[in-house]
Amino acid sequence: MIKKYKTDIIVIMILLIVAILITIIISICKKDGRYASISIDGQVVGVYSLEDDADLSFDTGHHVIISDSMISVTDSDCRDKICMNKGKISSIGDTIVCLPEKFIIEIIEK
Amino acid sequence: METSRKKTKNMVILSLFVAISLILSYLEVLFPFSFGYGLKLGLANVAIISVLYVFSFKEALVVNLVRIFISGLLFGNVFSLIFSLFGGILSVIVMAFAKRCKTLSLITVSVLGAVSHNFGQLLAALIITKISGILFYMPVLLIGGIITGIAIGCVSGVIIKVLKEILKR
Repeated sequence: MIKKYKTDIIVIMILLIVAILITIIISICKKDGRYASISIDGQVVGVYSLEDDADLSFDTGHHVIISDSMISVTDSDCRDKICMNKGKISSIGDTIVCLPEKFIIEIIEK
Repeated sequence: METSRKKTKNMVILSLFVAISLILSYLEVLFPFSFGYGLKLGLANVAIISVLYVFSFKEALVVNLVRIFISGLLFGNVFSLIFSLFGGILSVIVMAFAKRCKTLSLITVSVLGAVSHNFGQLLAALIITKISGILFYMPVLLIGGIITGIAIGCVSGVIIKVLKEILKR
């Protein structure tokens, strides 16, 4: 019976390996960022240093906390709460995105 | 040549599939399937894959498009519509190609459909937000796609067998 599924196992293995490879490459190239750029609807509303602890609230209903050089969304009015589930980020290029309001936090080098 | 009676019959059946896929996409809200990152079970794809196997690529694409528009216009916003469109269209096209390779089983077709659906949405997100950091999400989408693809594929397999008998196709 395994023979029948040979091609399937190969395809899935390839996908898994690609996923693992990408994860490894990302972990190696990961660099801690120093600034977080927050934009709403495409407009940057602020650039914050990750070194300074901060407690921020935005018109979109998002509540953001910076502590331990990491930034996270602790409260939001959106339906899916994906932005909150993401947790804390600190690597350059990493993002927290909340789509209905286009609320985006991106870690940058500046 | 298809008689008009057959055409009407097919149209009714396909409309039912659209309705079923809408109900399925509503139902999956009841399953808290959350590894974060907005991953969904994609239950509606059981209907889409079923149409793909019981009918053909054309019907599957149309059913999916109609479902996406109705669902997007009724329950979503412009963004969700665009994401679903990118994901849904890419997914059906990839699955149709995969299905043509007779060596690939239903489960693999479903996995490829799930993965390409996620990639389609990633592409949409990239275009809309123009932030390259979005690509960080790729591994999660790949693995999530594999898992949901296998699950949906298993369910679809059972359904398709029954449907082929009932619809005599």
